[in-house]
Amino acid sequence: MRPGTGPPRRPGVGSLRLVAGLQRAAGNAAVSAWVRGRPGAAAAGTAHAQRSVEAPPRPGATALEDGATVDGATGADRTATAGATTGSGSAGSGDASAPAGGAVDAAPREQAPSTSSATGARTGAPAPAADGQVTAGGPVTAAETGPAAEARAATQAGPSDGGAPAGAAAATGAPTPATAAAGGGGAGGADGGGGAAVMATAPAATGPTTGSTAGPAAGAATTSGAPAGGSAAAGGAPAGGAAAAVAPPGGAGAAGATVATADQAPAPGGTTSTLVVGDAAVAARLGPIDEQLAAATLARRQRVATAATAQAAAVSALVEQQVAALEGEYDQADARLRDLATQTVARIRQDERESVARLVQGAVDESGRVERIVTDRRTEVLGVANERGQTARAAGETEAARAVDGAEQRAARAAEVVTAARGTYGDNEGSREFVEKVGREQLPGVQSKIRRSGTEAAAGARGKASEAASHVASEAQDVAAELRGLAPDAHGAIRGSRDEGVRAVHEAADAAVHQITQAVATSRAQLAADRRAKVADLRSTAAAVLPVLSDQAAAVDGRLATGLEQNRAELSWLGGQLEGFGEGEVLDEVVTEAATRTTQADAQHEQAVVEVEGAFAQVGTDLGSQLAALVAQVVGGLGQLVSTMTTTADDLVVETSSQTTHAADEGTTQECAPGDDLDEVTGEAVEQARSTWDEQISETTSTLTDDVTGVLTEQDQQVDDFRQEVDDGAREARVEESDGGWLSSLGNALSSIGSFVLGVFEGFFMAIGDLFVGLWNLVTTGLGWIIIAVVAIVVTIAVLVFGWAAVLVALAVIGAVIGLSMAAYHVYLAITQPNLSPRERGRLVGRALFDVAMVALSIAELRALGALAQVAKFRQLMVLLGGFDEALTAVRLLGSIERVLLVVDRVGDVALAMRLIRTVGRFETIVRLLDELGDAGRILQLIEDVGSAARLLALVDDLGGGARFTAYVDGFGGIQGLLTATAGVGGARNLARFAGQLGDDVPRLVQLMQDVGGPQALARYAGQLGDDAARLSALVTEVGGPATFLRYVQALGNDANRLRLVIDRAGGIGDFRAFLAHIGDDVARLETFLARTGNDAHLLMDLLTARGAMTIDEFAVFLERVGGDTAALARMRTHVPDLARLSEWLRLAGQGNAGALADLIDLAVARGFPPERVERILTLSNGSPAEFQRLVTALRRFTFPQAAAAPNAPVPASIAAGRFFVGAARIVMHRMGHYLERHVDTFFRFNDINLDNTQWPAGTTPADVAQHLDDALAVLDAQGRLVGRNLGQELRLFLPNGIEVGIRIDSVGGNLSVTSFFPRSGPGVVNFVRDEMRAFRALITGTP
Amino acid sequence: MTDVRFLLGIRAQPDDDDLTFVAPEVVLADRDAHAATLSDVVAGYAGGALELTVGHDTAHVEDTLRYLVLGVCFQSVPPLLRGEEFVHDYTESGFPALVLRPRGDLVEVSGREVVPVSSPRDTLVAALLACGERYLALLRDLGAHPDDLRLLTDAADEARAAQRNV
Repeated sequence: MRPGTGPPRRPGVGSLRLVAGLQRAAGNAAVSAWVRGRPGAAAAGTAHAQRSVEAPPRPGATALEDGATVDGATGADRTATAGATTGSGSAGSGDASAPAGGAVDAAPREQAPSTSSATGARTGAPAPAADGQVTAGGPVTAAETGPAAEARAATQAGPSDGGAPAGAAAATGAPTPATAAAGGGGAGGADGGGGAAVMATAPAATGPTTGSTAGPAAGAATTSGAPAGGSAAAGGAPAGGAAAAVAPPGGAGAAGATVATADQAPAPGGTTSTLVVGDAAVAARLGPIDEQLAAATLARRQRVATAATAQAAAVSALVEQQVAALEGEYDQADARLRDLATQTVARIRQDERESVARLVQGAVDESGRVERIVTDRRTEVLGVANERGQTARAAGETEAARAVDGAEQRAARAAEVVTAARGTYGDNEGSREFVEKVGREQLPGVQSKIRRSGTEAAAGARGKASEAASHVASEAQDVAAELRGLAPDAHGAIRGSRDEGVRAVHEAADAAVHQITQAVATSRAQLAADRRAKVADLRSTAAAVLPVLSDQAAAVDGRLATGLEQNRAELSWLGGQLEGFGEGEVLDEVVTEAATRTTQADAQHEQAVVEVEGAFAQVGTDLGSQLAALVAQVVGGLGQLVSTMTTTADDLVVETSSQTTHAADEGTTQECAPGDDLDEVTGEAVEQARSTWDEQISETTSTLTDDVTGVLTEQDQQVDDFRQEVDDGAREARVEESDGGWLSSLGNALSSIGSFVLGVFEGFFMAIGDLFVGLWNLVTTGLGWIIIAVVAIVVTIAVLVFGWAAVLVALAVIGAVIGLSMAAYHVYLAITQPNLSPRERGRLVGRALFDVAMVALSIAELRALGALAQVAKFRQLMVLLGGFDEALTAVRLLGSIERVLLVVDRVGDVALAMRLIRTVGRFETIVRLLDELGDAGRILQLIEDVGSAARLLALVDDLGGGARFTAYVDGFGGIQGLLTATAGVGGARNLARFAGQLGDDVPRLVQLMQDVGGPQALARYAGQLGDDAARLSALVTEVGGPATFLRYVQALGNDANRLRLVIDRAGGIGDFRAFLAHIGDDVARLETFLARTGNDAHLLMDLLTARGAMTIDEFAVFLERVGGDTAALARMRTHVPDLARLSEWLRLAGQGNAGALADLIDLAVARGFPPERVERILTLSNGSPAEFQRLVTALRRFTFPQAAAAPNAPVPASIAAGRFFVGAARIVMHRMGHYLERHVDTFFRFNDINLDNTQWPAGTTPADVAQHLDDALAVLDAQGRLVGRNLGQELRLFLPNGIEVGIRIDSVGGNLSVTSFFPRSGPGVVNFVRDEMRAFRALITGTP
Repeated sequence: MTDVRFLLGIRAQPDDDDLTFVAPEVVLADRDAHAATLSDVVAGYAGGALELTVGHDTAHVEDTLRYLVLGVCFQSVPPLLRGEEFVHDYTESGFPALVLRPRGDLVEVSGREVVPVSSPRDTLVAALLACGERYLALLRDLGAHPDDLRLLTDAADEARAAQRNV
């Protein structure tokens, strides 16, 4: 159960227990008559009515006798009626200090000339106090002006000496118990008016003899001070003595006070009895006894009244003390709740700000990531394309090199053929001559042919490789463009996620702030209600106690009075009985007995008073315990409440933090999604492109390899053919001249190489012999003829079917195979057969030689047949071309008779063909040109225009073939126009590529070239757009035509890509135009604006729309000041929507401080202040970035919320020990709290800002300051500067740590105190001037 | 006409961050309400201000009143009468607060954020002393300890002696 919500405690519970205790105490203290059972005792009151005793007045005594009229020393009349008022509270109050002898009553006060002072109130009796004359019929009571001249008496009515109006004091309605006392004169009063507690105990003495010494009593009776309530007591009535009134809490003495006074106590005879003894001698003996008891009784009644009043005051004070404690606890609890709300809201807002910042930063990061992804992918795809292009070109180069090298190798091998033939046939003149001729005449042709084909193959390889690379590059540009197009959508998605996350965070924080604010407000309201109830509870508890105190005081007082009266009655009775006895033994005995009895009664009275005093003390103790318990219970409840609320707030903060964190996390995750998707999609696109290009390049490479390999194979064949021709020729030449000579040579050789060689010859000839023998055997046998017949038939059939050539070739091949096989067999046998003599091995080798010779013979026969065919063809060509030279030239240029014939056939005109052959010189080129362009005459003309057949063919090839070439020529108005355009764009291939990008639409290409300013411009702009003429064309169209395009692009440094980017970043051509409408058709400015808003078109449009009266120039300045920090801008706009104001703030913060300014504004808002609180710092910064940073950094040194009052601690050790002196006086005081609140940032109090405010280094603690002070005093002491003349002077010195300090020692209240101690300069010491401190204060206390 | 008076710093509202400077009579008219201020005045901690009015111009300087009066009203007198410059430093910063610079028969009064004034020397000295005496009278009226007063009375004596010796 929360404090204050439970059922109210019944105030009577504790009070009843107290009352019971009091009643018991009062019962025990009941005073019985000291003469018990004595006849007539009860009627004593009536028995003495006629007797009175005159006693000589004592100087200064105050007449307090019932009904007496006492002349004061001044003779002034003092008229009062004893018992006329009995502390009813109707009497006035005031500072009733009376001059000498001047008892104050209802009559106007008169100044007594006596030097004695009156003893306060002497009400209830005419007061001729000084002379003590008693004019009334009562016993003589001397008024006495005693030493208590300063006594303040309550007057019955009317204003008194300097006091408040009558009745004001007791009736001023002090909210706590008030005690009023009134004396016999009915005067109750309080000193000093409202609420001052005054008690004037009865100063009067009663009795038949001289009055009491009222002065001291009266002087002691005055109390004062309790602001809540008061008490007053006045005494003086002879019959009543002390009077006391106890008012309930919240009441005044006059209002409803429960009065219990001695005056009200029942007295014998209704008022006050006197000792009535007729015999003077008896009276003289009994009178002192009566007087003694009366004085003692009066004193006890005063004690009771005093104790009651004091206890009432104590109860009141106790209650007020507990109330004050309770109020303090409630104040503290309320403050803690308030602080809790503030701190919780601050924490929530801080969390909110951090979450929003995280989201914004996340969006910025993600946008950056998107840009990076796109850029990286574009770079990657272009890089891959470039790499693949390089791969293709490298493959082309490799194959080209292989082709060239291979051709060179084969040319070398052709030369080696000749060289080998020289070796082989060098011993034969005919052969040698033949070989030499071939080396001179045919070898260069063969080598040239081989090299040319190699070169052509290399060019082809390079061309195909380049084409493949270009194709890949073109596709890469397309892919890159597609990738670029993905970014705007991703940015938009990120912004959407960011906005959604921010909204969620704001909602969560707002809800939490509302919740904690409501909860704290509710708790505080409950706290206030509970506070009122508990305070009332406390006071009601005391209210129940006070009347009981009063009642019991009155009861004891009454009993004391009754006892006195009974004693007096008995004395009177005794006096009557002793009349006439005269002085003597009887009288002595009776008097002795009376004295004894009186002493006994006195002891009983004392016992009663002691008991009731104890009871009063117990009441205070019990009440104190109860109130303390009640307060403790409440404090516990308050602590629980605050603890519960703190827990609630903590939970709320945690929950809110969780919500905002979740929202921020989710938002951040969402923000990442577009980037992730983009990353994945673009990654896949790149991979797909990579894979495709890999295949393409691989295929291209393979093709190149095949092409070159094919060419090299052809060259191998050419070399082989050449070798065969040389061998055949040489062999043929040798055969014609080798009869006899060779055999003689062989014979010479055989003779010189022994039997092996002989064997070789033998074997060779044996083989011949065997051949002939075999033939002979064949023709000499029937089977042989059959075989011959079969063979003849087969050959005949074959000749008929395949022709002689084929048959001869077939036979030659068969013969060669068989011959070589046999030769290999015989060599094999010669080598591997064991046990053969060298001659036999020689024979086998000779047989092998014969076999080889037979094979060679067969081949030679075939070659002879081929040569004859070639001769026939050449002869035919000579006829066709009209001469040997023409034919020979044509064959030499084209490489073969067949090619020449082919060309002639393709051209259809021998002369034109010969011109073409002579002009071009290469068969393949001629054939390609004829294939592409058809007309040889046109070809020759184009060659003349272009410069060479190779260039023409390259041009044709680069442009995509003859048809495309023709289209280009037509499109550009002739070959010269085409050549100009080609040169302008960097080559025919570029031109073809651009045309291809435009759908192979040459007229469109020509038009675009004209639109953008010529071929060079086309190439430049297209190159800026990814080498893409289509994009250029589209851009020209998109912006509204060539003129607009050129104007825009010139404004952007002749960079078409910048124009493309501006349009894209604007969100497309529609938004682009909308922006230009806003900012005056200035595309360069739009580009700048977009760049400064993070290329966030939505943001830029939002800002342009929201710029209000700001001109575009001012807006440009504003964006420049933002410095591209769009995240900071977004945060600032949340709190400062006025862009003109924000621009000014940014100016003041200095360039590059947008983020820091946003942080500062967020800080102000998080602290619950309006954003304008940052303006003081901005004004001081005045555009200096460094100054702004310095001030913002300095601001964070100070505690928020502002530090509470600093403790005046710790006490510096030297101060505590009184270690240092100035003269003879110790330095014993310090102002640690002041040093901290003025010069330590974490304790700094912003309500004490000076023009200069030096601060100890950051991190300085109170203990540090105390130590510094000890050090400073030690330094001063060591320097002899702790001297009298330096008191009050500011002394400067350096501490051991190098800090210069100022210190001032001065007298404060007579003690030496270190009144000032502060840092002046040194490491870490900083001074903040007043304006700076006020700037900080605006963000700490919120003071504008 | 040259006039010098001291003002007491009070908080017009309990939550005020800055002091409001009022004539001492304002504070003395309601001592209960300004008990804390008066307590600080007696202790010597109170913030205050001096206003040096010459014609229509007033130089206003704020500092701990005790030391402001000590320095400007009393300790400045001997050097000024000797024709020397006097500089009063702020109590707890050491930075100059007020500079009194003799220029012939005139004394120029200036300082940071202080409206400069110029007054005949003797007139200014008399006004400064009178202001200091009023401050001393206030302290006595408030029951300041004699030891606390001695610093000021000694300085006042020196100033008066210097004035007499001119």
